[in-house]
Amino acid sequence: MTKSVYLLAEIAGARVALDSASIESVVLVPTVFPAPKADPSIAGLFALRSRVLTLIDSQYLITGVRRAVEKGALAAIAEISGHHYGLLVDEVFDVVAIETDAGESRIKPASKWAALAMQTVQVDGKLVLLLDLERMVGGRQPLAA
Amino acid sequence: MRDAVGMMRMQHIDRLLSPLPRLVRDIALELGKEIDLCIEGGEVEVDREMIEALRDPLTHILRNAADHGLEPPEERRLAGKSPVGTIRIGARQSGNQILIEISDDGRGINLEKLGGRAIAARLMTAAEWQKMSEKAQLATIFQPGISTADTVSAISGRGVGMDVVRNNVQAVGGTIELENVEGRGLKTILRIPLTLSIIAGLSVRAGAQLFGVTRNSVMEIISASNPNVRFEELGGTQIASIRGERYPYGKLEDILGVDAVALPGDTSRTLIVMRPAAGATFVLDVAAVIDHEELVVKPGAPLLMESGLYAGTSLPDNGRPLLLLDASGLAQAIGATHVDERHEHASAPRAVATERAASALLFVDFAGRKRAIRLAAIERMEDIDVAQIKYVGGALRAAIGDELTEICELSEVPDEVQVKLLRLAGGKQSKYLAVADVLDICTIDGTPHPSSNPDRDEGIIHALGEPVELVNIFQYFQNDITEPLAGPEGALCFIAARDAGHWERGILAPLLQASGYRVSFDEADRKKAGVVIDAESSTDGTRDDRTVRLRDDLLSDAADTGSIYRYDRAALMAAIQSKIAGAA
Repeated sequence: MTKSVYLLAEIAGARVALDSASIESVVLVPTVFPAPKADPSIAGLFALRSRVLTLIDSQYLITGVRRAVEKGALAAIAEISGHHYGLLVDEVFDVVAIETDAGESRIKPASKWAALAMQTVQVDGKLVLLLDLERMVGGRQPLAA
Repeated sequence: MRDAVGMMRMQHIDRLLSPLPRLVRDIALELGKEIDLCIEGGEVEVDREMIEALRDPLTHILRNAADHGLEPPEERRLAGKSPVGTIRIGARQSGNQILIEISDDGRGINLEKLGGRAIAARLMTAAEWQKMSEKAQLATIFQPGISTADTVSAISGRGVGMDVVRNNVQAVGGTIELENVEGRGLKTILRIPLTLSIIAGLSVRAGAQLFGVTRNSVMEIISASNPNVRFEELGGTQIASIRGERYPYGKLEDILGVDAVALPGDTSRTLIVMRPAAGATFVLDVAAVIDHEELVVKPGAPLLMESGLYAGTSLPDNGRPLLLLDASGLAQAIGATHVDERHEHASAPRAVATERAASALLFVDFAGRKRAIRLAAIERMEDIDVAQIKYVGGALRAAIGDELTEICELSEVPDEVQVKLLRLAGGKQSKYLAVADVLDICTIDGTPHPSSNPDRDEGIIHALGEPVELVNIFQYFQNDITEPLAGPEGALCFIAARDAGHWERGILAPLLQASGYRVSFDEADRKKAGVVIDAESSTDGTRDDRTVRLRDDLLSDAADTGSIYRYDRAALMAAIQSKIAGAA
């Protein structure tokens, strides 16, 4: 039985859990600078503590609709494979320990989440999608037909 | 400071290469092959971060060479090769690049087989494959999902292919090239910039956003409204010709898909002639070139680099993230790619040809007039704080460090913070030419019209549609009284000092020394001195034709004796010179 600490947040109207081992902090993003011609899941770049971070439009990964990003949007800062990202989230709830083995194997993530979510787990009686951070920075995967 | 930091970051590439023999030994054992690994150039210095960035690609290339490249011993024997395969890794510095070559004496890449894979993977049709050049065929190995391995082994052939290798190399601003001789081996050439961390960059504007470009890919910056620039279009391809030379042309806003925004203060768009590491020289049209600065460049996130347009990210002093544009990526976006290596060699004599027509820099002087100066006379342009400008020694001079340089064409210290100065090269000496503003560079077509004041103006040329005076550079250097009068060896003057010799030591000697003479008061030097300066009233010592006699009164009965009044500097100098010339 493995227990890890996760950040509970909301992306595109769904409750998700992000592995806190990769999450540094949650910030209100400062001015965002666009990255023209880059993958549409990139909302832009912003500077944080003398670093340039890539801001990922998490909502686009799920819905395929880009979100208007303004200064002050909520983002989880994560280090994924050596690069620093800001992952846009709608809301942040809590940091909780989750037993990842106790997944709800019968409840599979909906198809639009399948590319990002590893499994669904239960937290305080509510179902939560467990996200794979690596997949969040790889662009939007085409939905399986 | 930055240099020191840069030095600390540099490390021997040996750190990258030294673990490789062990790696190759392990692979050889596993594959049942005998491999001889030769490593050269471990002393080459590379940025520390670069070493980390190259570790994976290099390992991958090496595995490929050992696994796919080198044949099993029996096969090698049949092919008439030594059963022991050889892999060579050589690193060397070439200009501002590091070249790493990995060559094996294996079977090379079978293009037919590669084509079969590419067609099977539906990357192209058989017909398309047939039409491709050998080089282009070879380059398909960099396409994702291509492998020539027949079987997947623990070493390689798992689909993580050369595409990843190329991406990794490109992420640090490098290029990868293959030289394939089928049956004889493959050579992989990695070219990477010397340093990952700090580059000389230009910031340019597209729309309302700033982007960076590396300065070493920039050949020329020219205003789009320059009369030497013409635009053409042929079947949808846009072409810019600069002084008659045609280049592929692209507007940065179009390439990036952003809206062109004219900001107040924009006069004309700017063209940048860029020569990318891969691809043909092209012209990039930007809203403005803002500044040049040292940029600390970090590789961007993989997803960001995927577009191929960016070489990395940087955070300049203003705290606004800057995307660094990749010259090769821009060339590809413009379509300036189809160029073979022969073209690159051909461009060298072309550069000479464009130099044949002399260029001139157009500027506005402090009197508000447009003038021109030959570009060849200018060493560089500098912005200097007015606090560094002082009126000393009869002229305005800029004091920078220990150097004191005269500023020409500036009558008073202007009421500004900084002054633009053109540094003129004049052999050993340099001078500054003050300008109110720099306008453009133009070519001097034909012979300039003669000027009625040739000392001041070399002639009159046509630029920006109006006649402009071409500055005669000689005027700033020819009447240079600070130039020592005496020969470089410094002729020796002996001064026979009377009494304590306060005047001779305190006034005469410094005057002579300032003019380049050596001065001695030692009686022993009297014989070998070129000139002997003695008082008119002096009676001791011999008088010969080397002697210049000084008298104390301006008007004297002794005037006809050939003596010189001691404060008559001009006559004294002339006399000394003629004595030395006579002695020689």
